[in-house]
Amino acid sequence: MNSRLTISRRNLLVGAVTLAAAFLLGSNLSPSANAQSSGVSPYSFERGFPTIARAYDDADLNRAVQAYRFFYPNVSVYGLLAGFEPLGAKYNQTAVVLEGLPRHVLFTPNSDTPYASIPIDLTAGPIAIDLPEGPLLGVANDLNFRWVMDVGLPGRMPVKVASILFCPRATTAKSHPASTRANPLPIVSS
Amino acid sequence: MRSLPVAGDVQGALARLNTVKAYPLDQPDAAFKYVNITERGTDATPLRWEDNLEFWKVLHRIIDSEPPYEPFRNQYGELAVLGIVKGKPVLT
Repeated sequence: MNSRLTISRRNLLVGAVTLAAAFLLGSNLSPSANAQSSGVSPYSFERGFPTIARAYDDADLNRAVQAYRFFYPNVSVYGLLAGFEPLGAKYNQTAVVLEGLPRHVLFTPNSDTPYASIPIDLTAGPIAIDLPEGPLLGVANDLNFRWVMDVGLPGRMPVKVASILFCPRATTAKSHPASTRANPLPIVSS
Repeated sequence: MRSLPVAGDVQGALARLNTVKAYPLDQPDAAFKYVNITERGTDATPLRWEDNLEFWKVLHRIIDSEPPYEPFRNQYGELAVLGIVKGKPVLT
């Protein structure tokens, strides 16, 4: 019983070696040929190496998939601007307000609280925002859809603080005229 | 920016939003105007771009217009290999 089992194992081993040899032999017999597909990998192999164009294409595809995922938030926040622009939103001039309804397709808003979207472009200089007292909750995002600061009730800002100044990146608190005021505005750099 | 409808007062909450004053620092009189778009529908998502080439065109526009963000340096490099480089037309 045991010996029979041993024999069949040996046969199996021999069989495997033969198969491997056949593969080697096959490639030796047709060195230039013509790249063969293994049937499993999408790559073609020539002398054991994958064809380079395909490898580069696949690296680019992988790169593109990762870039797509990484930069999706950028494209998403641009969608907000592009969605509101035809309805009148304009950088530094016109903000929109809405009571959220099903006809407004946005990512993750709600219908319980009305919204305002205030598009700010800092290339022309600092933008100030004066907040009235009351239950306002806001967040400032940049075009990378990164969080810049919370506005109003949430976050670190004291509820009583009524004004915020958004400044272009190069502006510092020291260099800015607002710092000379008796009560300097809190300064946020983008 | 969101405004809480205290005691269910949605119109009051909307009105409160209109009292948020945004303006260029050197032009306090040039405050942003507000437009109420409640009655008008819009799609403010990237859904119409996300499964076609527009996604990359929009991304290129953003890369061109925004100051680079240093922690994204590696990802900007990956985009550059794909042909999306700040200030340059798309390579084809």
